[in-house]
Amino acid sequence: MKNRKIIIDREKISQKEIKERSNFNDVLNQLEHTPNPFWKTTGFWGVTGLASLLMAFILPQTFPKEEFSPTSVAAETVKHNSSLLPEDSPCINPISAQNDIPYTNHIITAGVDTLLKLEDGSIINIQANSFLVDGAVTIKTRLFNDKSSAFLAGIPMDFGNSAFESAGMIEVQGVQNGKAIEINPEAPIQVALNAYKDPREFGFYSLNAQTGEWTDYPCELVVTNQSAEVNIADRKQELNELNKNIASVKESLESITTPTKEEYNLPKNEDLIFDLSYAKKDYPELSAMGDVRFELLTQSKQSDRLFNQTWEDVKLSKSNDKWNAQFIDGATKINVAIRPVLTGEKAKKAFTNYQYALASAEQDRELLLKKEQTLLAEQEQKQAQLNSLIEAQTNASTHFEATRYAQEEEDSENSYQKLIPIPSIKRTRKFYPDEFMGAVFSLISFGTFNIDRPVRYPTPNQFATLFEVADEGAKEPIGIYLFDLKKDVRYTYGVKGSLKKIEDFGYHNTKSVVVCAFNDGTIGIGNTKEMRKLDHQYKLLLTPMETEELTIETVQSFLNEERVSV
Amino acid sequence: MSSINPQYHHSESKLLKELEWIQLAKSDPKHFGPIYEKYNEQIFRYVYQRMNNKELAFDVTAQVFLKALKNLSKYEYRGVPFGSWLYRIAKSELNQAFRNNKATRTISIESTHIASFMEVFKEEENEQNRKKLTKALQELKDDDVQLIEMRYFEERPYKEIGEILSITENNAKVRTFRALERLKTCFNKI
Repeated sequence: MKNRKIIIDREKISQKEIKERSNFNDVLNQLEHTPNPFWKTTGFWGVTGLASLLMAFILPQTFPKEEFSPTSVAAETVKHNSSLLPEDSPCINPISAQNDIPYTNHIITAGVDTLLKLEDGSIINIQANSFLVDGAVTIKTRLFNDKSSAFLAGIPMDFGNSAFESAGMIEVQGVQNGKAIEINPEAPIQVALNAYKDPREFGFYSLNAQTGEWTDYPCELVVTNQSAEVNIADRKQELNELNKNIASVKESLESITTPTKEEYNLPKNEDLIFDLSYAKKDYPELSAMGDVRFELLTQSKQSDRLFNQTWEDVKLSKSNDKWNAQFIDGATKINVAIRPVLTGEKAKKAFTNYQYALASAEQDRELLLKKEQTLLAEQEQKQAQLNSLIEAQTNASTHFEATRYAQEEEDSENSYQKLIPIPSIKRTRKFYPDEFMGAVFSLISFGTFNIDRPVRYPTPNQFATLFEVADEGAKEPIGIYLFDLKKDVRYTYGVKGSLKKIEDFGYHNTKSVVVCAFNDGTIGIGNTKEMRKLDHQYKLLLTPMETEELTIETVQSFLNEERVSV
Repeated sequence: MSSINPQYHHSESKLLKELEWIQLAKSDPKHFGPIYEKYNEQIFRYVYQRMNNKELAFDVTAQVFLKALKNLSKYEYRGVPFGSWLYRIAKSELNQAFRNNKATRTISIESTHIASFMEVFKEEENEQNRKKLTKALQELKDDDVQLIEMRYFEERPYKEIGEILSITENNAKVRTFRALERLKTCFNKI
């Protein structure tokens, strides 16, 4: 047991106390009075440096290095190649040999840059010097883009106390003359594995085919979507239309004219109204207006004088549609601009029309202003959406780096200066299309790779489960596969390589398909929605099938899976 | 899950402001003051969470900032808050204190945390299970304890854990998940 103390519900220390106890000046004082350690002095490094140089000279003389020879590396590689075929991985156990998922064989020539495009859109980029052999090489691939294919291939999906939900899985092997070949670590093969779900919430793992364990593997999770481009173009188009609408509304707003009293021949200022005699036959347009009075157009000191004085005569005239009155008193003649205004019933009617026009104009303005506000708000929203789309597109390539599981070094005095190196992903050129969703990774050894995330195993059923096969009765399974259709995960119990025993069987929900394997080579299929809870027992009725009947089509049909197409 | 450390995550402008302080402090340590004020409480709580001695926790906290100041010339901005560097120094100082037998490695846990674990483990919350959990925590490796503490007791987001431990956020998730699995395995074995 480690030397640790566990304290439960310890007394909390207040922010106030921490603040009171903190003193930056103390820290500064300590800094000023701290001497440099001896190993930071010039004298030390002078002596040490000299000693290092001497050692660098003497040591190679005493222990000469072996010559590096590429042929010896190749020979080493060949020696490691055993007769173990890639298919003979001990932890990949297909449920039925005849219904195992077949490999697709791609025959290529070593020494030539090759791009393999797989049926689901995944791409394998092989460099000319990726192999340390010459001649024809067969790259064998298997894609597992649904639970059915992974199940039939016998790929283990357990991960600790969980099972993997997959977003895309691939197995890649390389053989020459039936024997496994190795990849030149200086020229790894690159794979762009297509994902059928957004991989950004997932991890990336490789399968140790000997132990059946999945471990983190470095990759780059990429999501670049052509439709994002289309969305952005659409949004821009929408924004352009919106801007045009807003401009049009602004124009309409500006064009709204507020009716004036002048237009309706109504008086504006009663203080400036006066009567004037004129020959009606001389001004028929005034006759049409009925009884009219006149209004001075401007109020001034002069206009005050006009109203406070008695005049010999006031003459009306019109020039260029403008009315004029000449006030005459002896030699004094004052000309002022005037306009006729309605009186009586005609004035009342005109006033009503004026008020109506005014209200209409106000209403139009109000409506247009509201429309402008709405359009401006929509513009702001669409602009924000466009900005997000552009930002999302820019950040679309999520960089996921999983380290090989590295142990931290023992902390030393200066350990905080050391950073755990994260292996970078070497890439020569972009070999996958602009529109791509999946994992891009480098292969330095063949194997099985998976975009997935762990989902916890269900709690074991409280009581044992009795499996009853129709027309046969109760039967003890030797292995149980539980396909949780809701979580999109396959759990295994009692199956070779699984950590869970038959008695650990349980289920999360009633949307799960149960496949039991029996000693006699048959299987039984059931559904958890038909699970019956009896006294101290669960019971599930199964439909019998022969193992050989488990073709990909059959399995896909009872798992409601269609082959994922790209 | 709310963060114990809502101040940890910084906007671009906050990060740049910090960088400004650091650059000034490199030429004159007095300019380190704002950074000290900003992180002092956080670092103290981190240290105290792991120590059985309050007075020593205050001393270690002061040592953290002293070390940071002494080595400030070696600090390189990596686009994450300066606090992540301070946390690494704090971890180093804590380990030194434990090695010198000045303090005992402590795990401070609250009843609410125990209840949460029981929920995760699908176990009843009772005295027996409480003891099992404390024993399991004692059995865990230091790295696993650190992850459990940061995530479940201190409720730090994975991003923050990643930055403090210099690993990616996803790796922090994976490692924390595995630490929890190992805790459960220990718990079940007892």
